[in-house]
Amino acid sequence: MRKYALLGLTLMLCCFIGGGIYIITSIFEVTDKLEKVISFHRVEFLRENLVHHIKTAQSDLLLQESPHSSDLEASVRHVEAMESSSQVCFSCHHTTETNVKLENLKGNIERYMSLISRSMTIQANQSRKEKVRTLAYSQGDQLLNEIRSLSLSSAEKISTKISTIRADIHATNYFLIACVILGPITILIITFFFLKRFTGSIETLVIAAHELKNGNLNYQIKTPLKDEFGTLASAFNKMVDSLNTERQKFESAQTLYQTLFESAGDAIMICALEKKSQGQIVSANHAASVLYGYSNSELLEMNIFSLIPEDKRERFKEKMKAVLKGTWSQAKGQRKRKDGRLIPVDLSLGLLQLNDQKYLLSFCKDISDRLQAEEELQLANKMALVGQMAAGLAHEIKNPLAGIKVSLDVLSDELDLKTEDKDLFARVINEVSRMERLLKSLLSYARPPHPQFDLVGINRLLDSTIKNVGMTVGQAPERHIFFENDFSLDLLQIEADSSQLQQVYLNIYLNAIDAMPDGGTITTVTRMDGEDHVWIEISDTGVGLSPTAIAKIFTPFFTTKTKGTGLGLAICKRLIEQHGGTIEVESWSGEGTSFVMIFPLVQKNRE
Amino acid sequence: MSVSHQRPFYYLLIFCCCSISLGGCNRQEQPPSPQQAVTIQQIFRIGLIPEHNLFDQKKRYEPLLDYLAKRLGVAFEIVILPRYGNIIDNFNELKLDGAFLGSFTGAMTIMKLGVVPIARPQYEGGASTYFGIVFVKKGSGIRTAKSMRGKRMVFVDRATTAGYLLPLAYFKELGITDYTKWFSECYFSGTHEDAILDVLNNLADVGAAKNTVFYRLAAADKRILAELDILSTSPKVPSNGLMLKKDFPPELKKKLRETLLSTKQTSEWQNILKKLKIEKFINTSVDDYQPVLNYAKNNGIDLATYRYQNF
Repeated sequence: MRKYALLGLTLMLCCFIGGGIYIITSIFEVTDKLEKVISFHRVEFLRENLVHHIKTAQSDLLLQESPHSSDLEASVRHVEAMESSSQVCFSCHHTTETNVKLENLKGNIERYMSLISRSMTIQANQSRKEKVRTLAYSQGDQLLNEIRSLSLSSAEKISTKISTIRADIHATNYFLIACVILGPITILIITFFFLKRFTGSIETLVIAAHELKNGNLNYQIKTPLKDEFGTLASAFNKMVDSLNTERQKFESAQTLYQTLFESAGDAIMICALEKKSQGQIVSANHAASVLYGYSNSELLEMNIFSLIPEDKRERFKEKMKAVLKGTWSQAKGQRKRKDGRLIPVDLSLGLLQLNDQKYLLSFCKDISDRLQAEEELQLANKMALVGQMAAGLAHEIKNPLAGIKVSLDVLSDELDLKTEDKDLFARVINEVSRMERLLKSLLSYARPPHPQFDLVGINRLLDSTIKNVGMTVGQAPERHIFFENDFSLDLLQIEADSSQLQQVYLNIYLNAIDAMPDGGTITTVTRMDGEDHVWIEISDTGVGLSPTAIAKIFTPFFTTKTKGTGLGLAICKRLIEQHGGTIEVESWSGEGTSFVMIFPLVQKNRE
Repeated sequence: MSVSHQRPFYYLLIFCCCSISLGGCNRQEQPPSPQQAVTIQQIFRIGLIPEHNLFDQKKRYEPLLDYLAKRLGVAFEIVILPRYGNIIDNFNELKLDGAFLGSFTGAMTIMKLGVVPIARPQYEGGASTYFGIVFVKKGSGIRTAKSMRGKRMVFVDRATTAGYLLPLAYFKELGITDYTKWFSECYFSGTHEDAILDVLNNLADVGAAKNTVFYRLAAADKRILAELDILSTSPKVPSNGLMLKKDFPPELKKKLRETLLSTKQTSEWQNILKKLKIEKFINTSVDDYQPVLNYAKNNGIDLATYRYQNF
């Protein structure tokens, strides 16, 4: 483009210079021609002037020695003026023919001057002087005739030349007018051509820039541009490609980090640290929504302090100050969910600096399950210890107690005791039996028997258990206990120890009967839970459990019965867990209690 | 218009453009230098006797006087004197300050007006004098007084050595006591040139003039040497010198003499002298004119009381 611009400028410069030179030359030519015309008229004037001076000299000649004669100096001046006039003629450019005539004229003028001089200086008789003057006068007349002849011969030529000059001037004028009109038009055309080429290319580049500004990173300049604009367009396309590559990289990185952010198990939040909006949540991931129970949009309108229990907010502010100094802070704390529940969390707080803005980066992990697991572990450890103790005690007590019982039986049979004593013996033996059962239960809890897995039909096992319980309850029909069963016909057999499961169901049914002193209905429902679990619910319409009882229902030695050992459900839970299953309880005070058990079809950890 | 004629216009155009571009500068107008401020105050009128025809004579001396004027810072005005003889009157009437005068008129003005000779030319070949010649047309048979009787005699002027004194002495020598009666016609041509040309052109039979003019004309017109015979020559007298009136400013007179006599002259001066066929100017005093006085006296003329009118 630079080349063409230079070419265009050179063209325009040439137009200007050429036009200027032509105009100047034309002006000079016209001026020259006009000067010629003037000179033609000047020739006439000079000729008339010369004639006038010759006539003056002639007059001086005629008046010599008369009373009216001019003084010598005046006469000399007249002749000199005549000579000067003639010299002007000789200084002009003439044709050779005219020059010859002028040379003759010059000679004649010199001769005339010589004769005049002679007439002025001669001192002779009158006759000679007359002759001298006459000769001089004749020479003057001859001069006048020559000049007249020259004038006549040149008049026609001058007229022709003037006509020619006039025609030339007209032609020059027309050409100048044409130049004045066509010159700007030519320059306009050149300018238009370059502007079109220039602005067209610029427009293409501007459109491309707008497309890029509007985010169209796939836009490519496809219009072939020339020269530097072509280079610029090529660079633009490469730049777009580069931007695309960088954008893809950026998007990949963003997606990666977004995925990491969103899929993180910990609740991650970014909060403002500026004083005006301190604690304002700027960003929160999905785990945060799950943890706090708020939607993401709700979280983004909240302040992090609203998620902190009021009594711990001051402490959190101190941690934020520490974070502002660049310190990473890790602690355990509590957070308040949308439903008001407080949850224990592990906190990790740090500083995030984006450009000039400082943010609080908060990682929060719900440790409820972990704490519960720890608690359960502690409980299990405790129970293991209790079991070991109980087993030891049972082992040590069981044999003496058996000896005591046998001894009491023997004594009761052999001794002739009063009825009252026999009853006493019977009660003692009964208590010893109870102590044996307690010890047996304690041993069962502490060292549950290893399950003997076999395929068991849950419906059949439940049905058998219900019948046994029914028979037991049937001995006391006044209690009005009814059983309702809703067994799934599609229920698959599971791998289980049937005796242990029967023990579990029996325990639950008996507890249910105990919970319905005024009678009620025990409903048993079985379903498939997915494809690999069975779901069993046994519910009663009894008195229900208090929340405290619900929390401790599976705790060993916890019981609501006056004569219970508090080990039944604890043993049930351990047996179920030995099967890889779960048991949960739901209870509504005054409405009843429901136990839900889930067992896997296959024992994966079976040895 | 030819290119060579256009070029000055282009230079003028460029100069105009440059002038316009420099129009904004703060150049101050410089006051005229003292040299520029000097104006020519005095005009001195210098007379020329008609050695040649009046106009040629003026043209011959114009460059010389212009040069002197430029060197001396004065102006010289040439005054043509139509007669040799009335030079005394002209000095007063025409208010001349000086004149290039011939030997006779020079001597006469020295005697009558007390003018001071300054310098005179030394012509090419080393001569600073001239002499008069009496000449006739070859083949005219005019050699003796007898052969001259009834012929036409052309003098130059009664106030010329060559054009009057010489023929007078020659006629005396031939025994012609009254030439006015001896010749059928006697007249004064007024210029040496016309005297020569009149004899050459058969307008007169016997003529007298000075040798310098004769040979100058002979150089341009070969007929002169071919057709004219010289009968007699006069003694040498000083060539036409510059005389200044006696009250001419002494300082300027000194400078004028120094300028004329200076050997360190410019090429312009050399060119001027060359055109006049002059080698240089030499110092001239009143004593240089003594031969003229003697010659005139021998011919019965006392220049102090001489009546110089031709008729």
